[in-house]
Amino acid sequence: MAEMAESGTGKRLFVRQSSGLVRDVSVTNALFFNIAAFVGVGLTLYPAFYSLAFVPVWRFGPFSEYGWAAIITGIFCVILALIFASLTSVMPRSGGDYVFTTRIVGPFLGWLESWTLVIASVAIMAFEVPLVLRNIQITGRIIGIGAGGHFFKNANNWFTNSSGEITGWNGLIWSLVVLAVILGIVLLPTRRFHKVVTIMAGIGVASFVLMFVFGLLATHPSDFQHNLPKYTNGVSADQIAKSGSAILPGHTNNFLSDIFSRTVFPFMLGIVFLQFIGFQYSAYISGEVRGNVKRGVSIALLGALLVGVIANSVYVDLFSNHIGFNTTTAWGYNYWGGVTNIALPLGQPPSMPLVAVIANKTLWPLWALISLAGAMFPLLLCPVYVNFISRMGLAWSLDRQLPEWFGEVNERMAAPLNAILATIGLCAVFLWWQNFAVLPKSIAPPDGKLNLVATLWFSIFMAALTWIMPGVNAILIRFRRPDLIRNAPYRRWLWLLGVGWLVFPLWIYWFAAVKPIYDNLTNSGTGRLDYLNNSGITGTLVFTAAGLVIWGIMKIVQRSKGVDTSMLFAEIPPD
Amino acid sequence: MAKTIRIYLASDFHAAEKAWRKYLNAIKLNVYKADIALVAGDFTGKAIVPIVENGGSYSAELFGVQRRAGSAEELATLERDIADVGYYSAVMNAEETDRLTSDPGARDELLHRLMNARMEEWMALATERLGDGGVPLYVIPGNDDDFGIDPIIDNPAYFPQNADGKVLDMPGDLQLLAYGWSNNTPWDTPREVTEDDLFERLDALAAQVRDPRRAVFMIHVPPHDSGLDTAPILDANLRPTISAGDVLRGPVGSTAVRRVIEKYQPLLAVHGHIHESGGERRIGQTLCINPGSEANHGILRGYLVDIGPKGIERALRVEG
Repeated sequence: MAEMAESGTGKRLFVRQSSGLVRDVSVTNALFFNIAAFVGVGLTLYPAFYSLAFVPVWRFGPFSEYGWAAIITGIFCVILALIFASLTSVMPRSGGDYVFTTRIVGPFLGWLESWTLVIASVAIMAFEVPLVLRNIQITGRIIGIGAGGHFFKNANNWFTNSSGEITGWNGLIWSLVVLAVILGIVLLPTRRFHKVVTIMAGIGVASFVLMFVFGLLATHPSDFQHNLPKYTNGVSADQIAKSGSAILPGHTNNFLSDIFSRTVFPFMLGIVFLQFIGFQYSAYISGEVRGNVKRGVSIALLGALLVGVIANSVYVDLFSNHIGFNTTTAWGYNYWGGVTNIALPLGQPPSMPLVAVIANKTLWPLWALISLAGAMFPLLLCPVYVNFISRMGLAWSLDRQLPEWFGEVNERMAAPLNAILATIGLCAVFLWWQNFAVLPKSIAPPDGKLNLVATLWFSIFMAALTWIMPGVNAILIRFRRPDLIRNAPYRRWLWLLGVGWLVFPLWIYWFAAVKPIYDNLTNSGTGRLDYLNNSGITGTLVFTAAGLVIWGIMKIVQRSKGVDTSMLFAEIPPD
Repeated sequence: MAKTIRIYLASDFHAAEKAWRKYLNAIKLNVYKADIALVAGDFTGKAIVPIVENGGSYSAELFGVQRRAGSAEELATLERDIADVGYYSAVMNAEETDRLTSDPGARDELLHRLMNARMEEWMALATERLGDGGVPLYVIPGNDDDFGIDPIIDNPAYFPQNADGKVLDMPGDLQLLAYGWSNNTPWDTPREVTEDDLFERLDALAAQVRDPRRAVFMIHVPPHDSGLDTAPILDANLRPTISAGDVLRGPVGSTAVRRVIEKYQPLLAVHGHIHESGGERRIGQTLCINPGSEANHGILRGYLVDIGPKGIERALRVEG
């Protein structure tokens, strides 16, 4: 009946044969799970993120400011990883930090943190959906450049209106088509869903490697510079680089003072935060990691961080430096709307395979395949997010944070269908705001549409509590839930890890969000920061207020039903 | 008119000391103002951690972390920590550990002894804490529980009532149908039968119920494909199937239990068994609840269900 099992370090544990003990997820699996959460448009569009913060972009040594931001964020995220390793060891559960916060601080902050994260995630989906269309266009352009053909040469006209933009009804309808595909994937039976995700992720990961290797070995900057004007109506790489002079010193005069800049670097760190978001979503798998949970989770989180750092520094910086850093950066700046004196090169963002096909068009099938993977990755991210959000909706519903019907599991789908449809619906609202000028111009300048920069900046602001609360939880757990922390790894140092981690997000959110608002209110801010914060902060305030209203309404409703929610997480002494 | 009755239910403690103590205190301290308490099975644990004695000091490995104790007080803390996560511990020297490693029979004997000892302690503790209160506690063994614990929970000296295989009257004009066996599992656990056999047994019990709309069916295994029975899909080596970095999950509940619920439509169905699939679902008119279990993390999961004269008034998931 009992058998001897080897645990992680080879020590003895006598386990029942009929134990049902399935805590057997390997560290490799946990690591892969975490890495999957990094999936997004970065595969092909990382160079566009250099300029997304609309702040000066410098280089130091082998890395760009963005690359350095990724490295520094990665270093600080080690602390966050240790906090998660500790907390997930004692509270491994779907819901991640929502679970920690509800138990350590209380249901209100747990609700607010998870509500803001969910809205941020929906905003990220709304950011990714148009880029799926963009990447399909880019794939068409690559085929057009490589193989010719009227249909592919005119790929920029796909999904566009008469002015050649993906906006208005065309933009909305095609975005809704993408959303429908996402819904179709989400509603697949579990096994088929995972098969689809596996195939797409596999192609994506292979494409990462191919892009890196062939992007560096099979392209030459001189070929790129020579060929580019053929596709840009004569505009050269130098001219594109010069068009970004507003943000392109291209080097740093003082690395340390730029790193500790309180007006530039925090914005870049904010962008990198967006790229790293996701590795904390996977905390629940820790409950099934075999052996030493602390070690397993630490390796999985730190391994994922390493991949994130490499993808956001080495991968993108080596290629951009190889092709021409200033050109790719200015090109991205043009895409986000920062350049007005020349047309957007090829009418597209600086996609790595698009840049590569200009330099070497004989390999166009390879670049087209990579670009297609670049379209699949953001498409893949959305069903994963919907899945995650629907699980959160279920947890809210069970905790009576939202009505029961919201998280009710549909018998046929075996999934919380209402939560899924609500997520898709909210994403459609964001897409509507992106395609039609229906918002006040003061919030969404210049024309009342929520553009991609605003959408992304909004998601970064909205995720503030997600980054901050783990530090707060790490500090408070020893006082609020000593019963849970008694056997937690790093329990003696957890408060210090919490303090150490909090320094980082508070620095970013203070200097990239709160202080600019204060400066704007006191009329000392810049117009650029006005723009980012008008869009991002206003949206954040509106949705946070909505979260507070929902919380208040649910309190009243539950009270009228006779439900005492104070019992939900009541601490019960064991002895 | 009968007053509203509040049922407090939990399941799958699996020898986790802290969670069991919390459960008893939740009732004793009237935290949830419960009128009836239920435990839907699986009391016993899954593993023994040998504490190796060496010259007056003790060492053990818990979840891959090497733990040491140098005094009786530290040893007691270590033993309690092991008990809190649902493991049993036994102090032995290195030779004895080696002997147990190579002797399955001796390990079984030790496991039975430790299981029964903890069950005795738990029933005694329940009697001590709840014996003079007014909240009846109905329990059933689960499929993981060896038959050796039955005489212990059947002992009339202890306060908890073993409801397994019975239909009992409860306060509030309610009846309790209780059954701890499950359909077949990959683990070959002590209390398993085929789906057909399970249906026959449950059907025979349900026929004794006066009015299903005033009855609570406490059946350890949840109904098949109800969302309360979603567990990792195992491969041939009984390990979770991983795809795209995620654990594949599927329904593992009982079709027999589902048929019985669909046929009789009891007011409330209470389950356990699948720890990670806690929640509530409606099958027809029946509210089915699996509180889930995180007992091995010291977290007490449960549900409060208020039943009035007209049926279920509200249900609320709680954690302590």
